[in-house]
Amino acid sequence: MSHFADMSWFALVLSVALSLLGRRTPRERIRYALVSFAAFVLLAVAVAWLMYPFSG
Amino acid sequence: MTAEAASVLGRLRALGVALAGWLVPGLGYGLIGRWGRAVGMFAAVSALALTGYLQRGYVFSYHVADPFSLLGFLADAGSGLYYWLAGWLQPAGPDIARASGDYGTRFLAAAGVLNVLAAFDAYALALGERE
Repeated sequence: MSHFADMSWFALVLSVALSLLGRRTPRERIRYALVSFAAFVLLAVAVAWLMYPFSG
Repeated sequence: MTAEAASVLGRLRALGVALAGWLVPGLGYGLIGRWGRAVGMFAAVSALALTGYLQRGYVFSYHVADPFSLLGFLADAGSGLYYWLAGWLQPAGPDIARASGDYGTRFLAAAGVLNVLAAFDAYALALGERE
């Protein structure tokens, strides 16, 4: 798998798992998982671009 | 039974739930009737652990040489049975010379840490401290 695919898979599994914790309705769990996944991926891409000027 | 004895028994029961949840991902939730969380956590921990083994990540041994190795062992061992079945799940051994092996190492650690988090959550639910 590519680095991005690995990262996305990691983000997806963790987002689903974390949505199961806490007292939430099924609708709230789905929303939490989607927001968490989007945050994982967007932040990772943002940090990657921030590191880009310093890469070799 | 006195209130104190019931409290001690309740804590022992909750500890058993946590230990079961550590050993078999999700089982702690199942023992207290939370089958949705049980199946979900089992699937999540299994997905992380199996991805780690498929990518030939490094599994830290209990023979620790330094603090970093100790942290790695504690994280990996958190996945319960998946840690002890490492030799069977990864017969070819680790391959950290490639990037995928490095990713696999992180997946294995994440599986363990997530499983421990779930075990703590099941403990709190069993005690009634959380709903």
